[in-house]
Amino acid sequence: MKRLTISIVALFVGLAASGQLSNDDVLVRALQDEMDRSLAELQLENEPLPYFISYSVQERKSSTLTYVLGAHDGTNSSLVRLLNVVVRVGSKQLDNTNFLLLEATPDQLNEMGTPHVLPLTDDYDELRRSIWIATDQAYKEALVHYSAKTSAIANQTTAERVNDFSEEEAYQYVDERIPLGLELDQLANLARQVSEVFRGRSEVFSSYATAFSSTTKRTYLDSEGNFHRYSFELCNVRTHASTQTSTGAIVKDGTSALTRDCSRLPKIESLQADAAYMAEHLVDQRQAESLEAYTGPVFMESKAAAEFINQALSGLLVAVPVPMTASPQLNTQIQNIANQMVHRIDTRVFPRNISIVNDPTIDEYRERLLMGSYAVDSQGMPSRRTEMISKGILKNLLTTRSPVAELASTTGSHRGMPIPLPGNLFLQTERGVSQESILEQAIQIADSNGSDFALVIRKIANTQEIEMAHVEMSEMVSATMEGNVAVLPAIHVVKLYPDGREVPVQPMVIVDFVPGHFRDIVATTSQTHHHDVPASPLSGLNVLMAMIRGPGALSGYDQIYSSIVTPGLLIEEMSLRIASGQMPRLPFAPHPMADE
Amino acid sequence: MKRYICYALLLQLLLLGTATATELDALDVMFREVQRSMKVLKRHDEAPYYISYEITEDVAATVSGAFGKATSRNFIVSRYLDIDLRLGDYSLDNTHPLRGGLSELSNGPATTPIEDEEALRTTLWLHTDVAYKQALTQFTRVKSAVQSSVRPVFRVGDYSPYPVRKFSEAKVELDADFEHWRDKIQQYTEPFSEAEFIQDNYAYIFGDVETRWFVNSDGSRILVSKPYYRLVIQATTKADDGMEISLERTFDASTPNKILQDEQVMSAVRSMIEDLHALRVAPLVEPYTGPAILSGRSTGVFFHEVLGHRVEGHRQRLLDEAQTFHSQLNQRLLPRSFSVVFDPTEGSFDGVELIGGYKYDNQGVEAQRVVVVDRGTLKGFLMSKTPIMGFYRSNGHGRKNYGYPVVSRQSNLFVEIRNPHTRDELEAMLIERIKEQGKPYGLYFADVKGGFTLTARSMPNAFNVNPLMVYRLYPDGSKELVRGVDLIGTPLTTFSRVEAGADDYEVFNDVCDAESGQLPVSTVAPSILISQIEVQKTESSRSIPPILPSPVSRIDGHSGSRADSER
Repeated sequence: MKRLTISIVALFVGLAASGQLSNDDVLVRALQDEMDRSLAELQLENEPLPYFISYSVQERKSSTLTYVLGAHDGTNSSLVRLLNVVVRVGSKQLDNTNFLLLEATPDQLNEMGTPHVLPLTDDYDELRRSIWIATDQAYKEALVHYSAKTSAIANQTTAERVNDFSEEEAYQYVDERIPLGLELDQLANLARQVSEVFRGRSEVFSSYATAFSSTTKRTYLDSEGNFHRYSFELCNVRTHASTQTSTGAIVKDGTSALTRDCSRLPKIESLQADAAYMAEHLVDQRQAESLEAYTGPVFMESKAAAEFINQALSGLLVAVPVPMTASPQLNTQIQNIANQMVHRIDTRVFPRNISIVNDPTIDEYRERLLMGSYAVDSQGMPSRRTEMISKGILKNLLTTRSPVAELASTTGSHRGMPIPLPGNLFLQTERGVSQESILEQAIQIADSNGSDFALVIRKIANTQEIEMAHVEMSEMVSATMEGNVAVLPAIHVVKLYPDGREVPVQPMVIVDFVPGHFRDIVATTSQTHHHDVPASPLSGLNVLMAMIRGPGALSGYDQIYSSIVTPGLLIEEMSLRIASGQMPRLPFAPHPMADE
Repeated sequence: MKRYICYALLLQLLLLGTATATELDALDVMFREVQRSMKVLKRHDEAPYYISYEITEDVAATVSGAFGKATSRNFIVSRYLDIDLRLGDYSLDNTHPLRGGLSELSNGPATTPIEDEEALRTTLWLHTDVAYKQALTQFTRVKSAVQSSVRPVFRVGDYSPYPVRKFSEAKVELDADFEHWRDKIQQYTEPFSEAEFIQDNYAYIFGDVETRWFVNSDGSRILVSKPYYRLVIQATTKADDGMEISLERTFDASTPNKILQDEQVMSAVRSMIEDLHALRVAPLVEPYTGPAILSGRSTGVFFHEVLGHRVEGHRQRLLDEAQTFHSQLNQRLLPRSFSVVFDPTEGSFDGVELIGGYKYDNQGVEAQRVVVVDRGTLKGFLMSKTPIMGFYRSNGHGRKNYGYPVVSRQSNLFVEIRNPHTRDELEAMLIERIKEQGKPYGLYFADVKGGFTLTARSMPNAFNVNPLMVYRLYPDGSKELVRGVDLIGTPLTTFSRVEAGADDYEVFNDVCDAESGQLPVSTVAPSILISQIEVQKTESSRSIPPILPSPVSRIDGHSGSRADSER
């Protein structure tokens, strides 16, 4: 493992803290000057001044090109510089945040936290003008929320309140490296060549390849002396393909080659090989058996295990303050869908041989970049190692600067969403065994249950690689609202028989899995692997918070990724059912190329 | 600077690549696939009697800016496929309107490549199958509904045949120079940065080449390619009472050079700043009824909303539509001096380009001139291939944006006046009406930004025109700028009060949003006198102005600067 190289330019540290940044940095000077003026003078009569202001600027250049069977399908390329402003009024004990304004119209909700467009060029006056208007708007929104919140508190009997904003030490971070991303012609070549893999495969009904590149320069400044500036790039070459089984079920699959360093994208031959493998597997899936329901031992290979940990567990490892409203009834309902793990700290939630650590400060794992690495979070807080689960005992949850119960400090996990997100999650096990022996164990458990096979899951869908139908996403949201762990369909599933024979089955969905079932992990492999996944911390409250953009919520511009390093997992008993979804008739006409 | 040059070069490379690749005869590939689909699907119980494919490619670039600085740029290439697949026959098909639900559903747009035969045919095949399955479901519902209804909803059929058309023109390339556009946006918005009372400013240059490939199972094959460039400049101020006041100027043409005419644009910018400054202190108008003159641009929008949407053919079919003019055929709607014509074949008027024109509509029908009102009498409707009682043939107004079903839509609307008055005569007539009606003043609607109208039965059948510049015109001939009103009314009453028109024709180009998506439309109309109109207070944000003064102080004597506003 390799740690992030944090390069802090000493000159900036003192200057940023004192508000005397280098004169040639026009953007920072404009932000600082407007912040100073607003802190001193931005006040409506009989209303408080802001006690906290933060500015976050992202200058983002991005391009996406899509190709189908080697032919250009679409291009989208843009350059924009956006400003997000957070203004807090009141005090850290009680401020305008963490309150849902029920009377807000959909338009008002949309406006809250919506970024403001800044000039692309560093013109001090025009930057000041934009920052002035954005700050004014954020202050007025903050006053509306603060007034409604204080009124609601006065009219309700509330449990003991925790502070709204944590005390933290100021932190400055500057990394002057400028990544370049990939240009349009490079992206076009990648997407075209990868998409050509699907040519001539008439059994694959639909396919495309997308090449994406973005570079973002981020500048953050707040009234507590936090400052950071760094640039980053993202490159991704994705494929997606779908077909239908002989019974009509739609099966789909995808690949994703994702990196924070575009020069380290896999070679084209490797990307094509992955796409070709996926296409072949998809065609095999057309003949897969359908298994209506299953309850018994399940072995998840590490890629599936990583997605399972990401989708099923990471949402439980974050602490989200329960927002209040002016409606006591609604407050009770919101409390009911809050993450109950906050009350389970220091209790056993996993088998005793498993520990989980979140560590975004680690840069690489086995010479591959981890996508969940970062030096500083979106609130200017340094990333840090956090021990989440130690020998099965829950020790901590990830937090932002919005305290939750006893979790009064941030873990540096604000990654641009209103909820904390994990960076790199490492699932560590003390007694790993070989994959062969774990499969034997699975068969033994199945046998003891009276079943002649166990299930092996090789891949669980994620939203990055697979286009999910609306019904599939709705099912997930419903499951989380009911307190179940929601996971997208397992798309590579095989029945494993005692003689080693494998029989593919059609996509299945994990059902009735509750957090307590994590203790049913009975064995892990000794080998661990790293997988990058779209961060998706689903739980009831997280879904609610994601749907309702709170004041000052920082809009993410790119998909946010986590990395999961995990062994394969054997779960003693798990229930699955065949994935629901569309079952249209097979195409009435033969594929045009097959027809000839 | 370097970044822009680099980007422009790459863009040109990509466009060149696209141009080379489009040497594939996409129309031929599409036609072969439509024939194959007809042949294969004929073997099934319900065979399509008609299939059309339309691929719409947009190559579009945008540069945005505000207060003298560029703020973003964007470049998009998209290709969308729309399929119209019909089961049954012309008299009754799967698109037949059902009570309580729309059956004329679109399958939604699907992206598609166009440069490669395998890629194109695979996409067509896949989405034809989706369209066929959807049509089967729709047609089952339609047949069931028709069998169980007491009488058929319509006796005129659901579709009409049209002769085969073949047309192909060279694909136009987008002429987008990001660096030049950035300079222009900065130049055109710079004056707003010097007027402190301007709270918000936004401008963009947009270039788009829309190329459409259309084939149908009858044998039509059409390729049309149309460039469209637009400059939009918008600025907003706040009056002391909190009312937000916005003005917008647009320039539309088929080449970028025609919209980037410095003298013309800078003059408009100066005028916007002066008008906004004047509007800030202009008195508010209370609800009022009385005589008014609409300028040519205002008349155009007025006719677009009041008449244009109500003569769209499909509205005479749908049961939830009010069908205002359905029974007015061959009856007088307007004074005898008035005629209203829709003509998508016209490309310009008096040197100003019209954006509502096209060569072929989205059903493969050539654009046609349609006289809707002849010497005051209603004579016809805008028709797609969906028939209505008495009108069984398309007149080339079946339009849509990609992803939407075709309905009849407006194109270039011309209000023509026989024996027109001069503008001065119209004003004199207005003053007469003011005196006759005992009103303190009349209104003059100098410019408008747009409007909307409600045509359904479930709501009041009303229209609303949103003015930008309105004046009170007093009996002594003096004018006073006012703010805060919308022109409202109901169509038949308001039309009955249209009295006379002048000879000062003006063009209004804009984008109209309705059931079949956003489409460019134009109006050409003169000032008109209406003996009685009604205005209501306009909806506007009343949030207080910024608490702190602007951090940018450039007091240089420019009209509307802080010094001016303090005076």
